[in-house]
Amino acid sequence: MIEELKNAGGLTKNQARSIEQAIIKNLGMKKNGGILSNLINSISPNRGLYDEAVEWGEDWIRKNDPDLAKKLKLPCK
Amino acid sequence: MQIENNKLKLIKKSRTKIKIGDYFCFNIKDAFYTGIIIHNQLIEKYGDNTMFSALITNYNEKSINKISSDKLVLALKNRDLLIPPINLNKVGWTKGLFLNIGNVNLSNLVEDVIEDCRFFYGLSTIYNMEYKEVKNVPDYNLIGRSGIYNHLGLESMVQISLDLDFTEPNPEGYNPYEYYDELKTKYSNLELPFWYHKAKERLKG
Repeated sequence: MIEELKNAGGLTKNQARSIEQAIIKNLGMKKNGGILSNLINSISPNRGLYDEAVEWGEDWIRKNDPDLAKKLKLPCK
Repeated sequence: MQIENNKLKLIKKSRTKIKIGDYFCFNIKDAFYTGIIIHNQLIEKYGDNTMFSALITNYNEKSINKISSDKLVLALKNRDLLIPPINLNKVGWTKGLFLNIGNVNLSNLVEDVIEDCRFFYGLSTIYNMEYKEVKNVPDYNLIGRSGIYNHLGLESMVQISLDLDFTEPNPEGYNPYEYYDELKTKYSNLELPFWYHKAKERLKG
């Protein structure tokens, strides 16, 4: 199923990738036992900026799409 | 392991324009189940030919020729659905797994069923058939997810309803009806549909 993010207009490509990776991290890819059909990461976990990017993505989701944050079971900050 | 017998079967590939009121069928386990398009552009910015909101009924026949629009309309009026309302993309038609049969005027169905249809994004975001956010959920049988499914998404939901094995192993027991657990916290007075119970039973643990 494809579902649109709320309030996602105006994001840069890298911001969008950070959000996508936050979703991938929390829901997982099918090939790894998760539920997403993505075949590759949007940001490699080997990159130095990975943790920071994912944290930014998770924060964005908390602030802009609380319904998605709930689905991802993101803890409140 | 692939369970080929439980898959949607090829009927006929088509590239027809899909319109509101079109009714169609798909073939699973040698039965032709029927559905109807209740909107073909619920989210205007997606453009046309992208997302088709449909109701899929329990009404089925052993051959396409026997499908009756009157029986389909009756099933819709009785809210006799096989799965919740669903937004489909067109791949099922282009791959030949869904086949349009005819068109019916939906005006008689608006009050009976379509007005009560809802699409769930989250507990705080529930859309009606005008894609407006609403606060009421009249019937759990008539609330589906707001995202767009392809034929495989429909197939796995139908497999749950008909007690058929999934075509592919279901990772982590993913349950397409988890949203009802959220709904229950806010709309607790409604009766849960049979597909919720079936999914809960087979995907437990």
